[in-house]
Amino acid sequence: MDVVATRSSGAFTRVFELRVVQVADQIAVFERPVGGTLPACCPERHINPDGSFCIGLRAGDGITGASATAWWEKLHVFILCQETAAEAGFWPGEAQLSHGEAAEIELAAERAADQLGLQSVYREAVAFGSGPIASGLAKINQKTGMLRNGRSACICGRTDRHRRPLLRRECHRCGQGCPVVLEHWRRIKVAEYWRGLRGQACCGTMRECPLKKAGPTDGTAISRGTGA
Amino acid sequence: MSWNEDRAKSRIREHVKTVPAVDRHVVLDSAIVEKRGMLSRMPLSQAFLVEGAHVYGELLDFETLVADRGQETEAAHRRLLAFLHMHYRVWDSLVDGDDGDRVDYHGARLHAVITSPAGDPAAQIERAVALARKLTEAAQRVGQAHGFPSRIRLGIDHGKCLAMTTGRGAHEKDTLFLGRPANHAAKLVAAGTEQGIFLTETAQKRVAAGAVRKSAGVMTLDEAYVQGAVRKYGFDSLDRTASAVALDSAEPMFRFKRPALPLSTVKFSELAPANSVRMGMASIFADIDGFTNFVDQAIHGGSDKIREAVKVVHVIREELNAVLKEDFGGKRVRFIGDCIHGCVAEGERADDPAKTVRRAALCAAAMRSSFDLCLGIVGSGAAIDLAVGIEYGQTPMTRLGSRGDESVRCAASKATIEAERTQQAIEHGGVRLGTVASSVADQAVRKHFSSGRLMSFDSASDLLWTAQAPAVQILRNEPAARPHAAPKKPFRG
Repeated sequence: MDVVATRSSGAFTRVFELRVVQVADQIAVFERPVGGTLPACCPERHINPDGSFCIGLRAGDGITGASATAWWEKLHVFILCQETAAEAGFWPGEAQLSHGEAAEIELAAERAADQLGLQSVYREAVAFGSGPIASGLAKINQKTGMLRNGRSACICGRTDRHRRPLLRRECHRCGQGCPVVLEHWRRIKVAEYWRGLRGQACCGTMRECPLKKAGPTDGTAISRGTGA
Repeated sequence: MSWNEDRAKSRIREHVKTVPAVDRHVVLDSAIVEKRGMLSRMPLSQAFLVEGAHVYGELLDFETLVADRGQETEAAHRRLLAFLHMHYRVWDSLVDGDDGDRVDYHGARLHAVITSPAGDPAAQIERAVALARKLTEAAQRVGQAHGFPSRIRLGIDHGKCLAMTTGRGAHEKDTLFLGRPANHAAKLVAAGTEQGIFLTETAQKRVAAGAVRKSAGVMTLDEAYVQGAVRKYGFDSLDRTASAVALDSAEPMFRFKRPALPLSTVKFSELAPANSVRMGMASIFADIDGFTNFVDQAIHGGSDKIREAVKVVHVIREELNAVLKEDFGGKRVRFIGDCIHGCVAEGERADDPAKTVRRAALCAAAMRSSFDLCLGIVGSGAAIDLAVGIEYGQTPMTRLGSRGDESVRCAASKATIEAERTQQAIEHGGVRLGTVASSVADQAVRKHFSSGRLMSFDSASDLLWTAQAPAVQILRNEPAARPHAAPKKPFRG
């Protein structure tokens, strides 16, 4: 399958030559051949070590006629963002989820933040590591993974049904959880993910990639930091 | 309004059709020199090769007047504009005078080209030195009379430049001199902060014997030579006007209003001191890096190369202007050599600094995309790049000087100064935000535009997550379309 997408200006992306494989109700998509124009593996460009694309959380599982459209939409976004990543060395922050198991936690944190009207504050914490939620991480007890000073009002601003501030020790047990605590757990899972990739060569196409710090690169870009 | 590739391509094809013809008798001859007030009469459709002396001057105290105790208040801007207005009135006499010299100015800078006596470089430089001394004296006289510090630093170079006029209508037209002499004279001025008249190495070689003294590597002009030059070339109109301006105690009345947006709807023809505009704007300086070398090689390479250089600069400048105005609602203040200075603004009722800087960043990225299209369509392999500096701040915009309809367009503030300085600090191509622009920008703009490579519009649109980005539209309907990276379990296909 060959794919071309239209970008913001009406310009076309390159032609992406892809191979789609179906086994039972599971679908995966690869470049044809793997490593042709895209990196053979690059977590920051959402290409798994086996060359398969990760176009969304469990995107290829249980595909039916009804869910097939969504699968194509996910591939569409993936192709558009690949073009931007190839040129700029960055993946659009809004169009990605944290790597590995951290993705589930990020979604949970987003739901919690949404409930509190802190959607953009949470996005800022994930994308840029700044803002009230990110600075709230300094108040986490590293042993328990919960906020210190449990009898203080929670820094996420959650209140009970009488609009009284919830205590830090109660907040995470309520409703969707505390976004500050979830963000702490998300970061732990992201770090675990990168530790699991130790030894993996960096493709060097992204400006910020933890693999660059970890080992020699086969590219020229400069690493600046973390993977979200 | 935004950038569209097809629209840009059709515009560029139109720009190609309006490329000025290169004059076959490349040197600007005496018949043209005799035409007075050439600034408004230089034909739009032609480009010339002009040999002469270039005088570049800068009012050194301009920057100290831009703010009052660190604050850019309306009062500080009134005083700054009054300062420029005073000098422009004096400089206007050169444009309107009968000397046949070409004089142009913007902000605190003046650029004059001396082409007479034709074919005599030493005499042209002598005349340039006389003009520089007269400008220094005039600045001191009017500055003292009106209570402004008015030190001026002047640089002189000599050589061949490519001259062309672009833009339409008296208020939108700019005459350009491209090539080494204009550039080197400007660099000589920028290289120091002490008042005086300085000659480049080239000018020193071509000036009359005994005119220059060197001690400990420092060049000074022989005072007897300068006095002789001043006696020889009177510049009487400059003296007369400086005396009149010094005696005129009437202060211009500057009144500011907030313009309706987009800024592209502001018409310079309707602006005057009493009808000036002022608001928080992003100043954009977009410069073609490597262009002076490209033009210099073209000048030495013959008429075909000159034609190519004219075509490249004409098409790129017209297109950068179109991107600024048509795609981003910005206002071009003016072209300065191979650079375009424009402003963009956002905020219907009140200034919106973050949105303004975001718009300026997208505009810079669109300029990059158009720049690449221009080189492709023109088919030029010129080793040039685009360098864009952006700064934000309160900026007044008006027309100054005494020439009525011909008076000079002006946008002057700390933001305009810093945008240019920021652009000049870029090595080769790229983009950079000034300190204020960086501090008011949203996080995404700061991350991707603070300093570094200038990306294409499409990539900028994705990374800044604009409403027109296709990925944004898809995610609105399909929020799960967010790639990540699977933890383990490689797919076995």
